[in-house]
Amino acid sequence: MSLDELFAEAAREVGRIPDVEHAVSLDRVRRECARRSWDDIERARHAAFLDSLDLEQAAYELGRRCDQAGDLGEAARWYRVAARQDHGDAALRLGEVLGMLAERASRRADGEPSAAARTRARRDALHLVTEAAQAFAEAYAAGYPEAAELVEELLDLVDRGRPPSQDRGEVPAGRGCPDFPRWHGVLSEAEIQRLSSHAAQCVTCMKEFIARMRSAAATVPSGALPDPFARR
Amino acid sequence: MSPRPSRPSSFPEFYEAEIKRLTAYLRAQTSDGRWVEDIAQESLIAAADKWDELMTYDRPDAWLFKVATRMLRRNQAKAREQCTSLDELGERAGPELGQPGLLDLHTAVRRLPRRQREAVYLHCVLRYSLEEAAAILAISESSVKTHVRRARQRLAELLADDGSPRPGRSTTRVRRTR
Repeated sequence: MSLDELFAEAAREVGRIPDVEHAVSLDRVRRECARRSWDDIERARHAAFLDSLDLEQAAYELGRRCDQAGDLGEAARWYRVAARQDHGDAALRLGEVLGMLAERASRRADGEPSAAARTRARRDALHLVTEAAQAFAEAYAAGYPEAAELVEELLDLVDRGRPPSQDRGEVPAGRGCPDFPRWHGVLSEAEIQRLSSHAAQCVTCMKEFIARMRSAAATVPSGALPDPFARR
Repeated sequence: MSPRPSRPSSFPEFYEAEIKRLTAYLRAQTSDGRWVEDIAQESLIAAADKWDELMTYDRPDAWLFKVATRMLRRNQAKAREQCTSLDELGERAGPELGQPGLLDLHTAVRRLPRRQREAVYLHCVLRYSLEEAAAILAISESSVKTHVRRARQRLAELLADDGSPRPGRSTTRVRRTR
Protein backbone atom coordinates (compact mmCIF):
# COMPACT_ATOMS: atom_id res chain seq x y z
CA MET A 1 0.00 0.00 0.00
CA SER A 2 1.43 3.38 -0.96
CA LEU A 3 1.61 6.31 1.41
CA ASP A 4 -1.25 8.03 -0.43
CA GLU A 5 -3.44 4.96 -0.14
CA LEU A 6 -2.60 4.80 3.52
CA PHE A 7 -3.61 8.44 3.98
CA ALA A 8 -6.86 7.76 2.11
CA GLU A 9 -7.57 4.78 4.36
CA ALA A 10 -6.78 6.89 7.44
CA ALA A 11 -9.19 9.55 6.16
CA ARG A 12 -11.93 6.94 5.74
CA GLU A 13 -11.15 5.60 9.19
CA VAL A 14 -11.72 9.06 10.69
CA GLY A 15 -15.33 8.92 9.58
CA ARG A 16 -15.74 5.54 11.25
CA ILE A 17 -14.64 6.53 14.75
CA PRO A 18 -17.40 5.26 17.06
CA ASP A 19 -19.22 7.74 19.28
CA VAL A 20 -17.76 6.23 22.44
CA GLU A 21 -14.28 7.15 21.24
CA HIS A 22 -15.07 10.82 20.64
CA ALA A 23 -12.71 13.04 22.58
CA VAL A 24 -15.66 14.74 24.26
CA SER A 25 -19.42 14.28 24.06
CA LEU A 26 -21.88 16.95 23.00
CA ASP A 27 -23.64 16.57 26.35
CA ARG A 28 -20.45 17.28 28.21
CA VAL A 29 -19.76 20.37 26.11
CA ARG A 30 -23.30 21.61 26.75
CA ARG A 31 -23.12 20.91 30.48
CA GLU A 32 -19.80 22.71 30.75
CA CYS A 33 -21.13 25.68 28.74
CA ALA A 34 -24.18 25.87 31.02
CA ARG A 35 -22.04 25.66 34.16
CA ARG A 36 -19.71 28.39 32.95
CA SER A 37 -22.57 30.63 31.91
CA TRP A 38 -23.23 31.15 35.65
CA ASP A 39 -19.61 31.70 36.48
CA ASP A 40 -18.43 35.13 35.32
CA ILE A 41 -14.87 34.62 36.51
CA GLU A 42 -14.55 31.31 34.72
CA ARG A 43 -15.96 32.84 31.53
CA ALA A 44 -13.63 35.81 31.72
CA ARG A 45 -10.68 33.49 32.31
CA HIS A 46 -11.60 31.37 29.32
CA ALA A 47 -12.05 34.43 27.11
CA ALA A 48 -8.68 35.80 28.23
CA PHE A 49 -7.03 32.47 27.52
CA LEU A 50 -8.50 32.40 24.02
CA ASP A 51 -7.34 35.93 23.36
CA SER A 52 -3.87 35.02 24.57
CA LEU A 53 -3.61 32.28 21.93
CA ASP A 54 -2.97 34.97 19.34
CA LEU A 55 -0.18 36.54 21.37
CA GLU A 56 2.66 34.40 20.05
CA GLN A 57 1.77 35.20 16.46
CA ALA A 58 1.52 38.89 17.36
CA ALA A 59 4.90 38.71 19.11
CA TYR A 60 6.40 37.02 16.05
CA GLU A 61 5.01 39.73 13.78
CA LEU A 62 6.42 42.41 16.06
CA GLY A 63 9.77 40.64 16.03
CA ARG A 64 9.74 40.61 12.24
CA ARG A 65 9.01 44.31 12.08
CA CYS A 66 11.89 45.12 14.43
CA ASP A 67 14.09 42.70 12.50
CA GLN A 68 13.29 44.44 9.21
CA ALA A 69 13.94 47.81 10.83
CA GLY A 70 17.37 46.56 11.91
CA ASP A 71 16.64 46.62 15.65
CA LEU A 72 18.03 43.18 16.42
CA GLY A 73 17.87 43.50 20.22
CA GLU A 74 14.17 44.29 20.19
CA ALA A 75 13.55 41.67 17.50
CA ALA A 76 15.22 39.02 19.70
CA ARG A 77 13.00 40.09 22.59
CA TRP A 78 9.78 39.50 20.63
CA TYR A 79 10.98 36.36 18.89
CA ARG A 80 11.88 35.03 22.32
CA VAL A 81 8.31 35.63 23.57
CA ALA A 82 6.88 33.78 20.57
CA ALA A 83 9.46 30.97 20.66
CA ARG A 84 8.68 30.31 24.32
CA GLN A 85 5.13 29.43 23.25
CA ASP A 86 6.34 26.84 20.76
CA HIS A 87 6.42 29.07 17.67
CA GLY A 88 8.89 27.21 15.45
CA ASP A 89 9.42 30.04 12.94
CA ALA A 90 10.18 32.44 15.78
CA ALA A 91 12.70 29.98 17.24
CA LEU A 92 14.53 29.73 13.91
CA ARG A 93 14.61 33.48 13.46
CA LEU A 94 15.59 33.99 17.10
CA GLY A 95 18.60 31.75 16.57
CA GLU A 96 19.63 33.74 13.51
CA VAL A 97 19.21 37.10 15.22
CA LEU A 98 21.11 35.97 18.31
CA GLY A 99 23.84 34.62 16.04
CA MET A 100 24.16 38.06 14.43
CA LEU A 101 24.23 39.73 17.84
CA ALA A 102 26.90 37.26 18.98
CA GLU A 103 28.96 38.09 15.92
CA ARG A 104 28.71 41.79 16.77
CA ALA A 105 29.74 41.09 20.35
CA SER A 106 32.64 39.00 19.12
CA ARG A 107 33.80 41.81 16.80
CA ARG A 108 33.45 44.27 19.63
CA ALA A 109 35.63 42.01 21.76
CA ASP A 110 38.36 42.05 19.12
CA GLY A 111 38.39 45.83 19.21
CA GLU A 112 38.53 46.19 23.00
CA PRO A 113 41.84 47.60 24.24
CA SER A 114 41.83 46.03 27.70
CA ALA A 115 41.95 42.30 28.44
CA ALA A 116 39.12 42.58 31.00
CA ALA A 117 36.77 44.29 28.52
CA ARG A 118 37.68 41.73 25.86
CA THR A 119 36.83 38.88 28.22
CA ARG A 120 33.51 40.52 29.13
CA ALA A 121 32.55 40.99 25.49
CA ARG A 122 33.51 37.40 24.68
CA ARG A 123 31.38 36.15 27.54
CA ASP A 124 28.46 38.15 26.17
CA ALA A 125 29.04 36.54 22.79
CA LEU A 126 29.16 33.09 24.39
CA HIS A 127 25.87 33.66 26.20
CA LEU A 128 24.26 34.74 22.95
CA VAL A 129 25.68 31.71 21.15
CA THR A 130 24.32 29.41 23.87
CA GLU A 131 20.84 30.85 23.58
CA ALA A 132 21.04 30.77 19.79
CA ALA A 133 21.99 27.09 19.88
CA GLN A 134 18.98 26.38 22.09
CA ALA A 135 16.71 28.32 19.74
CA PHE A 136 18.06 26.38 16.75
CA ALA A 137 17.47 23.13 18.64
CA GLU A 138 13.85 24.24 19.16
CA ALA A 139 13.50 25.09 15.50
CA TYR A 140 15.05 21.76 14.52
CA ALA A 141 12.60 19.92 16.75
CA ALA A 142 9.73 21.92 15.23
CA GLY A 143 10.64 20.64 11.77
CA TYR A 144 13.34 22.92 10.36
CA PRO A 145 16.37 20.69 9.60
CA GLU A 146 18.25 23.70 8.19
CA ALA A 147 18.69 24.77 11.82
CA ALA A 148 21.46 22.13 12.02
CA GLU A 149 23.54 24.01 9.45
CA LEU A 150 22.97 27.28 11.24
CA VAL A 151 24.39 25.77 14.43
CA GLU A 152 27.51 24.91 12.46
CA GLU A 153 27.94 28.55 11.51
CA LEU A 154 27.70 29.34 15.20
CA LEU A 155 30.57 26.96 15.87
CA ASP A 156 32.76 28.97 13.51
CA LEU A 157 31.94 32.01 15.57
CA VAL A 158 32.83 30.25 18.81
CA ASP A 159 36.10 28.99 17.33
CA ARG A 160 37.11 32.45 16.11
CA GLY A 161 39.23 34.45 18.52
CA ARG A 162 38.76 32.09 21.44
CA PRO A 163 40.02 33.40 24.76
CA PRO A 164 41.77 31.08 27.24
CA SER A 165 39.33 28.48 28.57
CA GLN A 166 39.44 29.77 32.14
CA ASP A 167 38.19 33.17 30.89
CA ARG A 168 35.33 31.92 28.83
CA GLY A 169 33.68 29.75 31.46
CA GLU A 170 33.74 26.66 29.22
CA VAL A 171 33.07 23.21 30.54
CA PRO A 172 36.33 21.30 30.14
CA ALA A 173 35.94 18.43 27.65
CA GLY A 174 34.94 15.16 29.25
CA ARG A 175 33.78 16.75 32.51
CA GLY A 176 30.03 16.63 32.96
CA CYS A 177 29.53 15.72 29.30
CA PRO A 178 26.20 14.00 28.65
CA ASP A 179 26.08 10.59 26.97
CA PHE A 180 25.00 10.90 23.36
CA PRO A 181 22.38 8.36 22.28
CA ARG A 182 23.30 5.70 19.74
CA TRP A 183 23.87 6.96 16.21
CA HIS A 184 20.85 5.31 14.65
CA GLY A 185 18.52 6.77 17.27
CA VAL A 186 16.49 9.92 16.74
CA LEU A 187 17.01 12.60 19.36
CA SER A 188 13.93 13.70 21.24
CA GLU A 189 13.24 17.41 21.70
CA ALA A 190 14.28 17.19 25.35
CA GLU A 191 17.55 15.48 24.40
CA ILE A 192 18.25 18.07 21.73
CA GLN A 193 17.71 20.87 24.23
CA ARG A 194 19.86 19.21 26.89
CA LEU A 195 22.66 18.44 24.46
CA SER A 196 22.56 21.84 22.76
CA SER A 197 22.85 23.74 26.03
CA HIS A 198 25.81 21.64 27.05
CA ALA A 199 27.35 21.68 23.57
CA ALA A 200 27.35 25.47 23.47
CA GLN A 201 29.88 25.38 26.31
CA CYS A 202 31.89 22.34 25.31
CA VAL A 203 33.58 22.28 21.94
CA THR A 204 34.06 18.51 21.90
CA CYS A 205 30.35 17.95 22.44
CA MET A 206 29.44 20.79 20.08
CA LYS A 207 31.21 18.93 17.25
CA GLU A 208 29.42 15.69 18.12
CA PHE A 209 26.10 17.53 18.39
CA ILE A 210 26.52 19.15 14.99
CA ALA A 211 27.53 15.87 13.39
CA ARG A 212 24.31 14.32 14.72
CA MET A 213 22.16 17.18 13.51
CA ARG A 214 23.79 17.17 10.08
CA SER A 215 23.29 13.46 9.80
CA ALA A 216 19.62 13.86 10.69
CA ALA A 217 19.24 16.79 8.29
CA ALA A 218 20.72 14.69 5.48
CA THR A 219 17.76 12.31 5.66
CA VAL A 220 15.34 14.93 4.43
CA PRO A 221 15.16 16.23 0.86
CA SER A 222 17.53 19.06 0.03
CA GLY A 223 16.96 21.93 -2.35
CA ALA A 224 15.69 25.45 -2.22
CA LEU A 225 13.83 26.17 0.97
CA PRO A 226 11.05 28.71 1.08
CA ASP A 227 11.40 31.66 3.35
CA PRO A 228 9.07 30.98 6.29
CA PHE A 229 9.26 34.64 7.21
CA ALA A 230 8.12 35.98 3.88
CA ARG A 231 5.16 38.29 4.17
CA ARG A 232 2.02 36.45 3.20
CA MET B 1 -12.42 9.84 2.78
CA SER B 2 -13.22 11.96 5.81
CA PRO B 3 -16.31 14.06 5.12
CA ARG B 4 -15.70 17.71 4.35
CA PRO B 5 -18.17 19.72 6.39
CA SER B 6 -20.79 21.81 4.66
CA ARG B 7 -21.94 25.00 6.38
CA PRO B 8 -23.60 23.79 9.60
CA SER B 9 -26.59 25.79 10.75
CA SER B 10 -26.42 24.97 14.45
CA PHE B 11 -23.74 24.16 16.99
CA PRO B 12 -24.86 20.51 17.46
CA GLU B 13 -24.62 20.07 13.68
CA PHE B 14 -21.17 21.63 13.73
CA TYR B 15 -20.18 19.33 16.60
CA GLU B 16 -21.38 16.25 14.69
CA ALA B 17 -19.47 17.32 11.59
CA GLU B 18 -16.21 18.02 13.38
CA ILE B 19 -15.84 15.85 16.45
CA LYS B 20 -14.46 12.79 14.65
CA ARG B 21 -11.99 14.90 12.66
CA LEU B 22 -10.94 16.83 15.73
CA THR B 23 -10.50 13.64 17.76
CA ALA B 24 -8.38 12.02 15.04
CA TYR B 25 -6.29 15.17 14.54
CA LEU B 26 -5.51 15.59 18.23
CA ARG B 27 -4.69 11.91 18.66
CA ALA B 28 -2.25 12.14 15.78
CA GLN B 29 -0.57 15.11 17.46
CA THR B 30 -0.17 13.81 20.98
CA SER B 31 -0.14 10.53 22.82
CA ASP B 32 -1.47 12.23 25.93
CA GLY B 33 -5.15 11.29 26.24
CA ARG B 34 -5.79 14.01 28.84
CA TRP B 35 -4.77 16.70 26.39
CA VAL B 36 -6.94 15.24 23.65
CA GLU B 37 -10.00 15.45 25.91
CA ASP B 38 -9.17 18.82 27.43
CA ILE B 39 -8.31 20.53 24.19
CA ALA B 40 -11.30 19.10 22.33
CA GLN B 41 -13.55 20.26 25.16
CA GLU B 42 -12.05 23.74 25.51
CA SER B 43 -11.96 24.44 21.80
CA LEU B 44 -15.55 23.26 21.33
CA ILE B 45 -16.70 25.37 24.29
CA ALA B 46 -14.96 28.32 22.67
CA ALA B 47 -16.78 27.54 19.42
CA ALA B 48 -20.11 27.24 21.25
CA ASP B 49 -19.51 30.57 23.00
CA LYS B 50 -18.93 32.42 19.78
CA TRP B 51 -21.23 30.35 17.59
CA ASP B 52 -23.28 33.37 16.45
CA GLU B 53 -20.16 34.84 14.89
CA LEU B 54 -18.64 31.54 13.83
CA MET B 55 -21.66 30.47 11.81
CA THR B 56 -21.05 33.40 9.46
CA TYR B 57 -17.51 32.16 8.67
CA ASP B 58 -16.82 30.36 5.41
CA ARG B 59 -14.87 27.71 7.25
CA PRO B 60 -15.78 27.58 10.95
CA ASP B 61 -13.99 24.22 11.12
CA ALA B 62 -10.70 25.92 10.19
CA TRP B 63 -11.18 28.27 13.16
CA LEU B 64 -11.76 25.28 15.45
CA PHE B 65 -8.59 23.51 14.27
CA LYS B 66 -6.60 26.72 14.59
CA VAL B 67 -7.69 27.17 18.22
CA ALA B 68 -7.10 23.50 19.02
CA THR B 69 -3.62 23.58 17.45
CA ARG B 70 -2.59 26.64 19.43
CA MET B 71 -3.97 25.24 22.67
CA LEU B 72 -2.04 22.05 22.11
CA ARG B 73 1.21 23.91 21.35
CA ARG B 74 0.70 25.98 24.49
CA ASN B 75 0.22 22.82 26.57
CA GLN B 76 3.19 21.10 25.00
CA ALA B 77 5.48 24.08 25.56
CA LYS B 78 4.43 24.29 29.21
CA ALA B 79 4.78 20.54 29.74
CA ARG B 80 8.25 20.50 28.18
CA GLU B 81 9.31 23.27 30.53
CA GLN B 82 8.00 21.33 33.52
CA CYS B 83 9.15 17.94 32.16
CA THR B 84 5.61 16.55 32.50
CA SER B 85 4.90 15.77 28.87
CA LEU B 86 3.90 12.21 28.13
CA ASP B 87 4.95 12.79 24.53
CA GLU B 88 8.46 13.49 25.72
CA LEU B 89 8.49 10.32 27.75
CA GLY B 90 7.39 8.42 24.66
CA GLU B 91 4.38 7.04 26.46
CA ARG B 92 1.07 6.48 24.79
CA ALA B 93 -2.31 7.02 26.27
CA GLY B 94 -5.85 6.90 24.99
CA PRO B 95 -7.39 4.44 22.55
CA GLU B 96 -5.86 3.96 19.12
CA LEU B 97 -7.75 4.31 15.88
CA GLY B 98 -8.38 1.94 13.06
CA GLN B 99 -6.76 -1.21 11.87
CA PRO B 100 -3.20 -2.48 12.41
CA GLY B 101 -1.65 -0.63 9.46
CA LEU B 102 -3.23 2.59 10.61
CA LEU B 103 -1.91 2.13 14.10
CA ASP B 104 1.47 2.33 12.47
CA LEU B 105 0.57 5.48 10.53
CA HIS B 106 -0.66 7.26 13.66
CA THR B 107 2.39 6.16 15.61
CA ALA B 108 4.66 7.24 12.78
CA VAL B 109 2.93 10.64 12.49
CA ARG B 110 3.50 11.22 16.18
CA ARG B 111 7.22 10.56 15.66
CA LEU B 112 7.45 13.53 13.30
CA PRO B 113 8.52 17.00 14.37
CA ARG B 114 5.46 18.99 15.43
CA ARG B 115 5.14 21.28 12.40
CA GLN B 116 5.43 18.31 10.07
CA ARG B 117 2.84 16.26 11.88
CA GLU B 118 0.40 19.16 11.99
CA ALA B 119 0.86 19.94 8.30
CA VAL B 120 0.77 16.35 7.03
CA TYR B 121 -2.34 15.42 8.99
CA LEU B 122 -4.27 18.52 8.01
CA HIS B 123 -3.33 18.29 4.34
CA CYS B 124 -3.04 14.56 3.64
CA VAL B 125 -5.65 13.05 5.96
CA LEU B 126 -8.16 15.80 6.68
CA ARG B 127 -7.78 17.08 3.12
CA TYR B 128 -7.37 20.75 3.88
CA SER B 129 -5.82 22.60 0.97
CA LEU B 130 -2.32 24.03 1.44
CA GLU B 131 -3.88 27.47 1.74
CA GLU B 132 -6.32 26.36 4.44
CA ALA B 133 -3.63 24.46 6.35
CA ALA B 134 -1.42 27.56 6.16
CA ALA B 135 -4.21 29.66 7.66
CA ILE B 136 -4.78 27.12 10.45
CA LEU B 137 -1.06 26.86 11.28
CA ALA B 138 -0.39 30.58 10.78
CA ILE B 139 2.51 29.92 8.42
CA SER B 140 2.98 30.51 4.70
CA GLU B 141 1.67 28.12 2.08
CA SER B 142 5.18 27.33 0.90
CA SER B 143 6.18 26.42 4.46
CA VAL B 144 3.23 24.02 4.69
CA LYS B 145 4.32 22.49 1.40
CA THR B 146 7.86 22.04 2.68
CA HIS B 147 6.70 20.48 5.95
CA VAL B 148 4.36 18.11 4.10
CA ARG B 149 7.16 17.06 1.73
CA ARG B 150 9.56 16.43 4.60
CA ALA B 151 6.89 14.60 6.59
CA ARG B 152 6.07 12.30 3.67
CA GLN B 153 9.73 11.50 3.21
CA ARG B 154 10.16 10.70 6.88
CA LEU B 155 6.92 8.69 7.06
CA ALA B 156 8.03 6.62 4.08
CA GLU B 157 11.22 5.82 5.98
CA LEU B 158 9.43 5.07 9.22
CA LEU B 159 6.87 2.84 7.56
CA ALA B 160 9.34 1.05 5.34
CA ASP B 161 10.60 -2.40 6.15
CA ASP B 162 13.68 -3.23 4.11
CA GLY B 163 12.77 -0.49 1.70
CA SER B 164 9.19 -1.59 1.04
CA PRO B 165 6.16 0.05 2.63
CA ARG B 166 4.50 -2.38 4.99
CA PRO B 167 1.34 -0.60 6.09
CA GLY B 168 -1.78 -2.73 5.90
CA ARG B 169 -0.16 -6.08 6.45
CA SER B 170 1.69 -5.30 9.57
CA THR B 171 1.03 -6.25 13.11
CA THR B 172 4.48 -5.08 14.04
CA ARG B 173 4.76 -1.54 15.26
CA VAL B 174 7.05 1.04 13.75
CA ARG B 175 10.41 0.58 15.39
CA ARG B 176 10.97 2.96 18.23
CA THR B 177 13.52 5.48 17.19
CA ARG B 178 13.72 7.63 20.25
